Amino acid sequence: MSFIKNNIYPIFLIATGIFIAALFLAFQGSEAILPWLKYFLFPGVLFVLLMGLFYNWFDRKMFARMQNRIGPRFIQPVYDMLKLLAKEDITPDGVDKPEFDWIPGIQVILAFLVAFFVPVYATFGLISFEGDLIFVMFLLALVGGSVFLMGWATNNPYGLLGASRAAVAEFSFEIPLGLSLAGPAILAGSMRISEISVSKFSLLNLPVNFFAGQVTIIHLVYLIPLIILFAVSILAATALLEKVPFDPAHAEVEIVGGWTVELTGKKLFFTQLANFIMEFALAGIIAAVFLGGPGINDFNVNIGNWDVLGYLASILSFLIKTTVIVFLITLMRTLHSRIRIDQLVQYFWKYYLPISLIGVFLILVFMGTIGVV
Amino acid sequence: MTEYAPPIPETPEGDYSISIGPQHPTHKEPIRFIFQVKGETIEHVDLRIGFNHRGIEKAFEQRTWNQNLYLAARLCGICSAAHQFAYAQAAERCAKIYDEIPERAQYIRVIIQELERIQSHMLWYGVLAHDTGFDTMFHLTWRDREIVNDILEIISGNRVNYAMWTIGGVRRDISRDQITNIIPKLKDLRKKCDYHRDVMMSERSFIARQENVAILSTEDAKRFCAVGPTARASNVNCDVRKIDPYCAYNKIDFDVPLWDQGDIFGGLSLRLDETLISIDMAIQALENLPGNPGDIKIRVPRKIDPNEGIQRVEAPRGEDIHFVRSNGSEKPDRHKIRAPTFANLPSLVHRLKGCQVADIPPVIRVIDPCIGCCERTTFVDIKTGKSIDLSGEHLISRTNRAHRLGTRVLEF
Amino acid sequence: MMLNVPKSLDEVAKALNLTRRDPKIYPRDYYVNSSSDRMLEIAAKLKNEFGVHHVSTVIVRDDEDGFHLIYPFSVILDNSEWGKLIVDFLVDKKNPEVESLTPEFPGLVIAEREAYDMMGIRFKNHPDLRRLLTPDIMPSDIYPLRKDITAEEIRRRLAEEAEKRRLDLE
Repeated sequence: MSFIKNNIYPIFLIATGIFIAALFLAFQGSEAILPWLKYFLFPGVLFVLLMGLFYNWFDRKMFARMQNRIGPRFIQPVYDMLKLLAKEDITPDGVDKPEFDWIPGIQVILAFLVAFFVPVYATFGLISFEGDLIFVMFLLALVGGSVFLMGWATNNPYGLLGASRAAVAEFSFEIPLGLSLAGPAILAGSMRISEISVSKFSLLNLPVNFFAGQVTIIHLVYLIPLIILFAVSILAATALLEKVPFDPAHAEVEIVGGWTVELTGKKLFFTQLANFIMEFALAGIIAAVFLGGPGINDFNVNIGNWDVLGYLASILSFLIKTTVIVFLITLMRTLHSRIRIDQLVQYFWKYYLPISLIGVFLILVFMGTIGVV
Repeated sequence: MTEYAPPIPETPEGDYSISIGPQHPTHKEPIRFIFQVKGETIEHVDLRIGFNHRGIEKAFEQRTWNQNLYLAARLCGICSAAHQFAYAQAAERCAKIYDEIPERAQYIRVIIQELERIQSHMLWYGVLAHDTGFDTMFHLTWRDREIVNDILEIISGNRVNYAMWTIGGVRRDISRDQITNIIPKLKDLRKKCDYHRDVMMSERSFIARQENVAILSTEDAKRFCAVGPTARASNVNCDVRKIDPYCAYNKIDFDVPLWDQGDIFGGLSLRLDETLISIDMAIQALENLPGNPGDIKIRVPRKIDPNEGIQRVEAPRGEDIHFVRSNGSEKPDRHKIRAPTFANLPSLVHRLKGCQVADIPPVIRVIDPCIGCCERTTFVDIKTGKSIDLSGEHLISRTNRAHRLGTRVLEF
Repeated sequence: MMLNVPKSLDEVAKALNLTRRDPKIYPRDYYVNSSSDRMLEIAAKLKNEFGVHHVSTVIVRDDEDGFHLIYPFSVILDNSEWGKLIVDFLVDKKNPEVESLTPEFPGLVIAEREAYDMMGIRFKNHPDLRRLLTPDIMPSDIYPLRKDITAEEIRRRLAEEAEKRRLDLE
């Protein structure tokens, strides 16, 4: 009895998972209920939520283990979120009320929207259309805007500083991020995330296809710009997620959380949740663009519409790739110290932007000389 | 002369003012800085201390010489030994028995001082890493700092307030067994500190936060009477162990590292070097511990004839100076403490100007502020032991008033 | 300007026309007495002729004959050791007003503020003579480390003052 009592949340979560899986399997043939299940359960809201919490735990656990600490329990993010929900929600006097009240919610919606574009199983995301990469970039820019507005609405010196830093950081990492995602898109000849992910010329598919005899050895030269762009995309994602070393907008030891300084209770819950989900979504998109997303080479994932094994294998492939990217972001924050905002601007404009430009340029040059088969 | 931190001007100089402290994640101890900021650059700094004011100097006058020994240890958590040491030596000078302290006691004093310096410096550079967001190094250094805390526990029985000193010697001897137990631990610690030094001196994002930040020139360091590692990072050789040797320091062989840039990185590299040197000194003193076991203190009269004694010691944070005046009774007539943090505050205010907001935590950290030592003197009712503070209602009304006045300092 | 590097503290004291007070026990401690009207002269001479840059603190002692204002000047000797020239200036108890040494030694800025706060020594030409450590509500006639006031008295006065402020605010 005490075992159940002590582990009530994990048991509840596992039971929910089994229930969802059962629902999913039971209704797999039913055309009427399938879209609802898709949007609210499996690749949709609940899955994204759980993945956001899972990657938050993974990030914290890895961070702790690399620092010789024990780290949080698996269920800790859930407790944290529940605790925040139970806390008193304070609205200070001087804040700009509409923005202050609404932006946390808007951030969560934005984060969910981005996450819906991530191809989780098979090849398509929940939402997918031609040119969706551009739409995702637009959503990411909106996230930066919401952060700036939030800091501005707090009307607090720390919040204002955080907001201005966040805006400056946004101008710095946005272009390298866009360029780094554009390279593979050019190579794949499409602006659709799912089509980029099945391209023969993504970072992971290229060597695999080479060994499978699909591409010739000369095409391996694409690996050089792709590795460069992959690295830049990880750096830009770290900056977007406001993680050390690129988190001057959030620096808790000097400006006490920057733009989040006045947030409490539910609002802080929404902001944090948005951040967790955004981490998952960004990792998923980078995984799709560079590492082939849920696709498994030499394994046809489209073995019939409801081949359970094929789906499971593709989900597993997606999870592994996403985890690797989250781990790289964790590694960044383990190995470095926070840099100042002027240094952040300097790094992105002086080094990462030219590097990503060179990457895109190399891709164009190679495409002109050796072409894509 | 604008360099003194004059009161806040009626019209603010910067765009807005940021108040850091008395409660802020940067420093866990209460001190308040009010920065007038233009963009990210600090235009003007004002300082408010006194939140941790306990009336110790007044309390010293109402306790006997021996009781004061334990009060002196409670000035500060980290450098308790330095304060107790300075007080004991000042009292010995006052009683004119300073030259009669047994040599073994003098060596044990050196050992405790150096072990305290090691733990304080390790704490410091861990916290500096935390201030610049390098949490990994913070956790690693604090893990390894446990070794030196264990050693102090082996020697004194305590991890923090060692209470090793008494007027006329030390209270506990170090046995042969303890020495054979401690020396391997110190050698192990040395290896770990070497590793910390390698990491911290080579991590580029960490160095980028520190190089050429908040430079204190040699001239300014002298002008503002900076002490300790802060001044030595600006190439002022002010190590009391060398320039005004006390106890056994003139019998021990050691170097004083200096740095000529005066930036935060100087303070860091200096302390990393000093940690290694202190480990070597502790090993050296342990191996050459002279005298007979048990010969560690001399008897001191309970009353001390009217006289004055002044003693400075090199605490981990710099020169710590104690002054005592006896009047022939069992209690001192006047006791004055000047902690190293207090001496470094003018230079800190000077070098904060022109820094960026992001530099505030490491710049404040570089003097290793210890507000507990710095503000010794508030008002403790000796009979009840209650500290005199403002009533709850008053605090609330004061908060409301502060709210109305914005971030300005309250001048009633 | 050539700085004079003294061989011993005797030499410094002789140049300043001061006589040693204590018996010669400790080689680097040198206690001298002086009066408060010589403060500026002694400080300027020490700084300009002997290159003294470090004054550790300002110690104030309340005695029957007046306030003793003690400045431990660190004199750098020719063997690169720092001797302490501890100059004891006697200040009149009725009117404790002296020249500030902060213009000569900027590092004393908060040490002299503390002396003002704790003992009520008023420093002329001090750039920023505010109270330093005591609470904002400390009555202006209380200087807590003076011998004529007890801890109980300070406590009572502070409580009264706090109550008064609270009533004022309401």
